[in-house]
Amino acid sequence: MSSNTVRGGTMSSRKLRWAGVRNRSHLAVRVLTIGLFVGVCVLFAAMSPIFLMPSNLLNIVRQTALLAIMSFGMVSVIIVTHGEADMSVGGITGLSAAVAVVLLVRGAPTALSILAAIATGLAAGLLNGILVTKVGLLPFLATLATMNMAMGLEQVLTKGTYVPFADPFIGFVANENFLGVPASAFLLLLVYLAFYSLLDHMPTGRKIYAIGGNLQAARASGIDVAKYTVLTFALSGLSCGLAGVLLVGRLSGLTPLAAAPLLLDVLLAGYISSILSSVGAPSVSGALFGAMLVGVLSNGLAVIRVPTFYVNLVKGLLIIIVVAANALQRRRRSIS
Amino acid sequence: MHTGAENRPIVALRRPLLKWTFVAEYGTLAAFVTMCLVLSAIAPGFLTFDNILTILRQISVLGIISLGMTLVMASGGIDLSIGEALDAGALVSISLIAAGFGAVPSILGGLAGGLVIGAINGLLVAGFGVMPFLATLGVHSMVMSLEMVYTRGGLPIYPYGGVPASFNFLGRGFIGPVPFPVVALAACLLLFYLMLHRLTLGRYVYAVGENPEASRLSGVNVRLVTFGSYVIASVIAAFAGIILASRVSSGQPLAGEPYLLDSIAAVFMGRTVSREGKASILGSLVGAAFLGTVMNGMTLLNVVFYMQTFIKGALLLGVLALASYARTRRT
Repeated sequence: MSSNTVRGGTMSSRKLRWAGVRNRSHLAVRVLTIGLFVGVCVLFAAMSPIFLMPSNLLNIVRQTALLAIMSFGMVSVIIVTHGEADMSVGGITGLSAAVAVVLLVRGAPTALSILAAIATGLAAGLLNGILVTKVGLLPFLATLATMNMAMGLEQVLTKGTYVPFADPFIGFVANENFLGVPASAFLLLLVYLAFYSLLDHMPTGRKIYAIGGNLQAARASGIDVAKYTVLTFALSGLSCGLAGVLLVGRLSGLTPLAAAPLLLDVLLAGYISSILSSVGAPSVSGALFGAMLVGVLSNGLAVIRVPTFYVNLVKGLLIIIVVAANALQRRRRSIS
Repeated sequence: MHTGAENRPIVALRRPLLKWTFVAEYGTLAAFVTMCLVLSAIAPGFLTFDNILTILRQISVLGIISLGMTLVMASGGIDLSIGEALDAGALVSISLIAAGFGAVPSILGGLAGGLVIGAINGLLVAGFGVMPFLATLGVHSMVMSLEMVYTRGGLPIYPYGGVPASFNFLGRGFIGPVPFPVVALAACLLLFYLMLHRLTLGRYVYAVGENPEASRLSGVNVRLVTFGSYVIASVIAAFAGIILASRVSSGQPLAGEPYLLDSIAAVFMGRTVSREGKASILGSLVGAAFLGTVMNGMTLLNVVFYMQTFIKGALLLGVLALASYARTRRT
């Protein structure tokens, strides 16, 4: 029996080592999570005829694409920091969107605006990475400060009001169908494949999991911890830059701070990925599922006409349940 | 010829211009003093008795909340729902006033509101072992949503027939020439200083923050200390909320939100003041004063509102980055 063959089948050794366990945990939590997903779908479908309409399902995909793309970056940060998060995702997405929309309004070509938005996201992500590795700030603090500054700049750029701009190409990618499927789904698939192959199948991903699993051991075995930590924060910034472009398409312009509430959704998606894994290790595929769950919840609650105020209540409750389940899962494992 | 210069160690020749040890220990204080000096030179009306009293009054609510945040962070956690605890204090007490209760039961009710939020946080973190920032983020989101439901989408609560004078005193009263909120800040400061830096309790809090496992093995009730720090932090935040409600004679929903980041910032700035880089009561006071003075100065200088957030963030990051860098360079 090879070292990564465990009860219940094989699993990549990088995730087992990240979680610091040899055995898989009980199936119950995972079954419950997937059951929750199926359950809310059935509930929404029973309560509203709109929910299962093809047009609404496609709408869910469009809404989820933005969220999922941000979640992939978030999950990389969660992995490398062993559970800490990038608090600046909402801020960076908003700032990137503001850069894109301001350039578009001034008459810059679409391609240039998109590139500028992505570059802004990347730069903000690099700043996070440098603050964490070179300056030595805690990830939570560094990203919180970046979030604040990004939100400030976003409001300066948009002068605090809605900036309308309907770019045909960005609008197409964000809102239209291509071959009968939302165009953003193709973008989502591309980004997913890139993150999935990087983190689950390439040496870089193995090193990122290794740093999160045991920092000292990773350093001792010669992994350039700073380099890969900066890389994950940069990836998170990059995905936020891309999400910012999609946001401009979704809103046909930009409402300042429209991206701020996404932080909770992205955190939720990232941590759901963790309880979905049999050993409690976060993963890109889990984040995709988490984003889908959050997307379905947001859409379904709106479709069955739950007031917006209650939506945050549900999400807040969910994040507590998810993380508490994860904590209990770990505690049980460490006893057995 | 023997001058002695050859015997000097090479290190001395490359002595840096700036002593990092000095920067690490006094950098934040020096930055604060410099900023005050610059502001007194360029901002009209900065260095007047009235304005200093205004700054003190402005930082009193932030200062009181920062004390609670200091306690939680010293115990190794963080409380992202502290703004909602403030709101709970404000909204519950004002609602009770509106329902015709007197000042004392309303204040106690407000404090109880904070207590409930703190107990939920404490239960999640100490009981279930949930990561502090996620547990309190969930509570933050839930309580905020409940607030919106309770206030029908964010309508402020104005008690019919006004607010009794005894309740009003908390936010608007004076003791001698000093506003009551400033007196309250000083009293809370003393209380927390004694608790955290002079009593065994404080030693336990720091021990739990440093190494929970070692504390548990040496007989500290880690869960109780953790639970207690969240409860105390929320109650003190609710107290700050009551002062705020009394000052504006109404309950403003979501009034606590901006205080969250400022209190975290104050504690982190305060950590750069202490020699070991720990969260400390006096450090957090310096942090709160720093932030309050920056905001006051920018208002006096007519800086655009949106730019103020950015400048505050950048300044904070600058101080933290410098202190953190200096600490790594210190021998």
